[in-house]
Amino acid sequence: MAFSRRFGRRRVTLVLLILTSVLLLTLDARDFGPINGARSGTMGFFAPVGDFFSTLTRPVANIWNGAFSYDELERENRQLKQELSDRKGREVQDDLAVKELEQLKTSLDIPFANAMPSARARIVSGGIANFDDTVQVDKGSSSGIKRGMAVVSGAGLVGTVVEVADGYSMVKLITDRDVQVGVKVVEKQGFAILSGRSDPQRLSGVVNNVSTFTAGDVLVTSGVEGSRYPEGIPVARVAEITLDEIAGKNTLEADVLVTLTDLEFVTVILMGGV
Amino acid sequence: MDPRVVARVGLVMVSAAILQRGILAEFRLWNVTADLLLLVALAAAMIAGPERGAVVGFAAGLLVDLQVHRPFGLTALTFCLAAYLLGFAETLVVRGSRNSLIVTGFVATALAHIGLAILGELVGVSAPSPGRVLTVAVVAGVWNGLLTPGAVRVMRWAWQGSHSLRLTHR
Repeated sequence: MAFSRRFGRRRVTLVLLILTSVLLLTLDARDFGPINGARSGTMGFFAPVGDFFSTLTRPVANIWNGAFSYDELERENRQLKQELSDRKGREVQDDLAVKELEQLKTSLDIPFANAMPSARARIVSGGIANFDDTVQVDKGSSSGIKRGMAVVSGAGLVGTVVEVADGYSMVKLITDRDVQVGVKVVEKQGFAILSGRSDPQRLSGVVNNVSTFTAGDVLVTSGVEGSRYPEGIPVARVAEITLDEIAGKNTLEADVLVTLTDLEFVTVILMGGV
Repeated sequence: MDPRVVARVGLVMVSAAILQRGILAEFRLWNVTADLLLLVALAAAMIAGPERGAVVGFAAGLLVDLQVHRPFGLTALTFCLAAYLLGFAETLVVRGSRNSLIVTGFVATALAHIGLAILGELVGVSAPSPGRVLTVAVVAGVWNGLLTPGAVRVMRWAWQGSHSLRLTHR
């Protein structure tokens, strides 16, 4: 009898907590203002504390990450050597490839950021949870940053500002599953929409016109109307295009140009945003 | 609930959030980190039972939801269910050794991460690939499993003075 009563009370508590969660999910889906306020306030409190501790632990963390990413670094090194070799060959053989290389060099100088108002920011911490592809930076609304602004680094697009506090902002990386980026190949027709899949360096998307894209092509933001990113920001390099015969669609896989796991500084483009 | 217990559990949760952001988030294996706030919820369920575990899980989940960009309440719901189910399961099995604590922490964390991905899909968050979910579940499970005995000890301190403590022999 006592067990049954106690079990019943437990269930009431659980049901109340589940209902509260559902209520919060519903309010958030309707963009309930106080939730955004609470998030900004929490970020304003935890970000400086996290920044302090991560400054202390970063040297050890770098050793740790270096030790456990050794295979990955070696693979990256081999891949870079291969790419350099391919590019040298193409330079000699094809004038068009030389032109493309020049365009790539130009894009690496990020003229997109130089021509626009921007704020340079330091990454103070990564995402705190798993399945959380965000980073926090040390500039916020006091530097003119707003939600929805694009964030870049020297090598290309990094992500979008999603939360802003006075002195800190949260940036959702382009590898997040819910981020979509419209891209195109320079001087070619055809667009694709890439999205993340929680893989640290990969994006993927469905394409109709396969001939537009070839492995090795550099994809830049398309800048079509309504896009949150300005046109011409380098995003990724096409890795492969696979045909799913059952579903009848072509999937484009691309490697992000920016090494997102190894960023220290980023540039927020102070355009757009809400 | 005793206000001192509430204060101590709150202190443990805030400390876990600071440790998570400042230290553990920097140490990743295959881009996966330990999940201290989930661990706090699981330890609370082991120490104080399913009902209180669910309440702590809900609060810890809210603390995560305030710091990440995903539907608000999703982590709270997941942690609450994970803690309740673990607390309930613990009432049915014979409590064991330190090793069984590690295994319990591993399994509960792995299942909680799989649950988070599934619930996320249900509320409209695109799910990561199954391979990625499995990697995160296993690696986070190992991290949390290793930290479980320590977390249980801390949570037992937080709950001292309460009349309905479990795991008195641990």
